[in-house]
Amino acid sequence: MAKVRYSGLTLAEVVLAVGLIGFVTLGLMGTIVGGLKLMSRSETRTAASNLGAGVLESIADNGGYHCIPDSDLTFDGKRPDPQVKDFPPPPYPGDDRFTTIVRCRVVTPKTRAVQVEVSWGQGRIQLEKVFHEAE
Amino acid sequence: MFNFQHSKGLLPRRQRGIALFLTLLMTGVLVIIVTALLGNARGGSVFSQDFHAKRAAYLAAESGVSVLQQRLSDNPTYNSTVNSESTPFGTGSYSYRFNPSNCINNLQGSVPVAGPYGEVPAGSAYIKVTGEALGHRETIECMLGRKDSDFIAAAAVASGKVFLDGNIVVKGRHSNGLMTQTSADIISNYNKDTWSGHRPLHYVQESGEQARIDGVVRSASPSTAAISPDLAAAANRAVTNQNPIPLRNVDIQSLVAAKSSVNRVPPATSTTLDQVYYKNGDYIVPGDLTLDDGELYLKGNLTVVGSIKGRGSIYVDGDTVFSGDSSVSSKEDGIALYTSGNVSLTGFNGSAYMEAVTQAAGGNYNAKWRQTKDDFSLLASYIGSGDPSRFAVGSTNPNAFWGSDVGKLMLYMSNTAASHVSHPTLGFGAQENSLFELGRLIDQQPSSPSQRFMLQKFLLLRGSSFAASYSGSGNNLEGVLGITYSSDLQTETAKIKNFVNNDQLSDGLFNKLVWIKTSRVEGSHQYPGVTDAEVEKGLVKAANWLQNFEYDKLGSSYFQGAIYCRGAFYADNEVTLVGSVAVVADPKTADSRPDFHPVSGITLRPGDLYLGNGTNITFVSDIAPGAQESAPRVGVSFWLK
Repeated sequence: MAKVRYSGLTLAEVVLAVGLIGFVTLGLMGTIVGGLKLMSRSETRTAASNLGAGVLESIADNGGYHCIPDSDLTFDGKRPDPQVKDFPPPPYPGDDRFTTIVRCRVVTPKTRAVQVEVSWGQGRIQLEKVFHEAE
Repeated sequence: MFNFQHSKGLLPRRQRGIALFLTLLMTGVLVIIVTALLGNARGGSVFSQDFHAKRAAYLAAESGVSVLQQRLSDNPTYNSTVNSESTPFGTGSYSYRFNPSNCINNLQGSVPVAGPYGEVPAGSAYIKVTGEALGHRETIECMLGRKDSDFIAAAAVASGKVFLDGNIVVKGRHSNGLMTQTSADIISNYNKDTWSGHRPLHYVQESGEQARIDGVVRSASPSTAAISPDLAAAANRAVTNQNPIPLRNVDIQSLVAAKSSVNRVPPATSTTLDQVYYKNGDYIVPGDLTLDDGELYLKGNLTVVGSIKGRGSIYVDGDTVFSGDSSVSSKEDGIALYTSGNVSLTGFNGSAYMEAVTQAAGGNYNAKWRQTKDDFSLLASYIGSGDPSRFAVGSTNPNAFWGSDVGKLMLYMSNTAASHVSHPTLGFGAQENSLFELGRLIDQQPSSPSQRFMLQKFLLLRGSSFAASYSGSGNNLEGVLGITYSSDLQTETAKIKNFVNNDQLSDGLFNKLVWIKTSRVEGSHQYPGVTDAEVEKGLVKAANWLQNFEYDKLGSSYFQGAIYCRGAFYADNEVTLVGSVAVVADPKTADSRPDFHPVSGITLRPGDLYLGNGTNITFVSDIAPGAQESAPRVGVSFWLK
């Protein structure tokens, strides 16, 4: 009977390979998930920042100092508090992802400050600007 | 496929470990991919954080600029260094330093000074502010300058209501030298959601009339009905429920009082004012007033019935009336007129001109003038009434028509009649030959647009040849009210028909109409070519013509400059205003002030603005209303970085 020459992998070799792949994959899985979450958070933060800046830009477009109430007020977009004479302007109170809180303060008779806080599930950002009467 | 059945044998040496090798290779590739993915995610995260932090820092720097604007406005010599100051909500901080390489304050300088990018012009400040937030820093550089010129960037702004009536044009440009267009807004700060009568921004538009507003009409009233729909349609945009625009409160009383020590009273006659003048009492300028960089401070009412020309400033602690062919050009500071009371700008007001001229002439001129005005109204009512008794004379001789009430009136107005007949209402003591006497008085006044305009009107009434008859008896009755007419029947018939059908005026026209009417009342049917209906129609038209032939509401006025008043503002009769107007009621006195009735049927409250038919405003943004404040306001002239 002729001697047959067998080719293939040993059981030990296969077990070792499968184990190694499994180990590395499990190790990388957490990293991948963490990276994806990080990307998502970055995108969310950027969108929130743009939203907050949008509120401040709308205030500037609507007259800046002149459209800001002449008393210290807070407009909470979660409730949401109603606008007073078109203030705060859109994108207040926010959208499906974000809610905004707009705080305004009379700093001096000719300067008024606005702080926009944009919040979402796990985070928030704040932007602030002082408006002068002559702008 | 693995062959487990026969896997007990040894593999060839070259095939041993291939699976492990491939696995390691794949694992390495996987690690590289995941590492790249993770690096990208972290990079994105860092970028996102930086992006937001930079934005927050930039806004902090902008806040610093705003704060610095305020400090420089309050104190033009401000040059303190701030190393780190938190923004009001603590989101960031800003810093600035006044030194030759950072901030340079030349707001009060008279000559340019060196700056990092060249010269810093006089009246400007180079500003470099650094904002810091979330560990990032951003720097802003800009040039600040005095901003008095465009703080109220509106053609017309009122603390009260705004009324527009008829044809109105409001447009804007940046300066007299720069013709580029700018928005010309109309603003009402009336912020109640209810009102009685007119809307806060009210427009009355008759058929054929239209308004054009090259800007925004803005109301502080919460009501969406605060602006007339026709006005909203005429503007680029109409908005309600807006915050009131803060308006400067200029203490005009104090400004005038501060000049009470100036011992230079403006002369009573027409003159040129080239210095600072002060007058305690009303000031009526019957002729032309020329401002040659002069300033007039008046504690009383100002009435100008002639023309105003030149450049200068007028401060009135009282009411102001401009009613001539006026032309006011402001000085470089952009101020033409401050008034603590009401302002009335009307087209040529012949009545006011005649009142001033006849009072100055003395004698019975003023009595003649006042009677003439009354006689005009009386004559129109007689002619227009169709009442035969007003034309009756008790004689079939048509030449006796002078004996009728209508004839007597015409005779008194145009001839020496007092020794012949009695005035229908005043008897024998009435003034006579008024048109001749008054016309001659006007002709003797210094030539001016007002004088020429009035003379032309009297010539139309009294006849074009009376100027040559001054030395004569003064009995030449020509013009529309005159007796000069052709003896040709067809000529006179055609004259009446032309008036009835085509409104064509001619010498002796009214006289002839009355003559025919009297003849027919008395049974003498003169001029058979003219029907009774044509006579009646002609008389009615003549009455209407007389009623409309007022000595005011004609002509045009041109005002260049900025107007600031604390009462009410009224403009009518083809007034052209190049500049801007601010009507700012004084909250301390507004409620106690009486209503302003510039003309019958118009009631204005302090802070109200009325633009009547034919008013044309060209807003020039470089001309500002109101006075400069003690500290100049500053704003960003342009951004450098």
